[in-house]
Amino acid sequence: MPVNLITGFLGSGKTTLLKQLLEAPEMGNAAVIINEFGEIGLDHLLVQRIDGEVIVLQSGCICCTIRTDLRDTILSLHEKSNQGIVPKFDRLVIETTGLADPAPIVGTLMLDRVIRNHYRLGTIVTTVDAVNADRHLKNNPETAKQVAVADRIFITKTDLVPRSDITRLVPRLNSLNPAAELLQSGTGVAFSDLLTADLYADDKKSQEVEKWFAGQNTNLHPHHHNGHQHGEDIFSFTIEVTEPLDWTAFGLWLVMLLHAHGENILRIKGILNIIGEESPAVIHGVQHTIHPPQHLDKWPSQDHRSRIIFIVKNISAAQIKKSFQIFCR
Amino acid sequence: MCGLCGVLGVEDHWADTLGNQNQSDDLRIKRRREKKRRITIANRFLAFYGVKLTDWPSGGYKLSTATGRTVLLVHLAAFCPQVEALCGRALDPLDTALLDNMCSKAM
Repeated sequence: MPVNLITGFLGSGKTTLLKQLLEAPEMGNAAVIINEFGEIGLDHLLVQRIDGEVIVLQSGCICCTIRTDLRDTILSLHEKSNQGIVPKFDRLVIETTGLADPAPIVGTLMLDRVIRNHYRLGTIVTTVDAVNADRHLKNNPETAKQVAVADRIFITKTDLVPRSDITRLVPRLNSLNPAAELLQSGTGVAFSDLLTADLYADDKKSQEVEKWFAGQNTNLHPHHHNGHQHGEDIFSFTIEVTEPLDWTAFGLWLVMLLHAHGENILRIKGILNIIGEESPAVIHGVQHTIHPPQHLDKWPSQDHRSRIIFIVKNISAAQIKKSFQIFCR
Repeated sequence: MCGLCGVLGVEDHWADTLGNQNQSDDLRIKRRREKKRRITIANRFLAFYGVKLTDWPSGGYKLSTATGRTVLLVHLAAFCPQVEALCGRALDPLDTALLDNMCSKAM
């Protein structure tokens, strides 16, 4: 079952987005974990109150507040669904707090033995406030990190700023995270654009991988910004290789790299040409956590190079590239 | 346990199917061959740390030092902390000395 994370700094429009999602008919089979019922104002949507923590909305969506910790909340909701106390659901959406670092949440989903048997991570959606983006990116390391780990960056409040502000913001967000799809409020963004069209949707896999590399420019040098602009020294770079890779050598190298430097490797997304394989393997991960690799039926394009995007902080891109070359080629 | 653990020898993991598209191969022979490859590749950098990886007939792997200290691994996914415990050093693929050592051996 897919789990989507909705994250974003305080006041970035996370709650507004959630409210829209909770009213959407497509969310009728979803469960949403939010911080507080009162923040969103769901009284007019309420159909049934299950207990102090769980309600059911008109759309059929189950809404649950977080308990002591996320793991307990997920397992409790899962148990209630199994027992028929709440309706069955086929998607879980989790709202993080505004100051949250999404990486530990990803770790909980991927590494907890019970949870990972039933759930897998879907898209991470990060809201960015067009009015205050500059200030947030500069002063709040949480914002930069939330952007860095996102699969979808949803720019909100676009109606409150001149078009030129958006034009300036887009490349800045793109440089932080070239692998994320940028979407804007007021442009008719569909529920599927944000949540459902991900790497695990069979008909969307190739498209999702193509999106990762669509945001890159042709300059292969690291998009390196100083710490003042992004709170922390977060930047992205890409490793591209023409010759097929040895899967074992690559796997050992990546395990070592994440063991030693996982804290600083915020996001990895890659398509790999593997020796002996006709179709590509796709990898993606958040810090220490790598998702089970996916296989595509065929290459998305004529480009059959291995390409791996790294979004990192406080680490040398040159040294990673050198190490990759020595270990894997 | 990361998602790549299967490629490192966890038999029930998805990645054990990578390269296993031809169902007519003898799976057991193929797995032993792959295990031997993993050991060869791993020893290229483990030598720098004074640790050697070998096959453990009962399943899994054996890590050992020149002084005879050993530890058994069920699978390679956990090799990093075990190697560090054996050799008393942090494993870091970005370590310049390690990379220079691997380069000099490759020449």
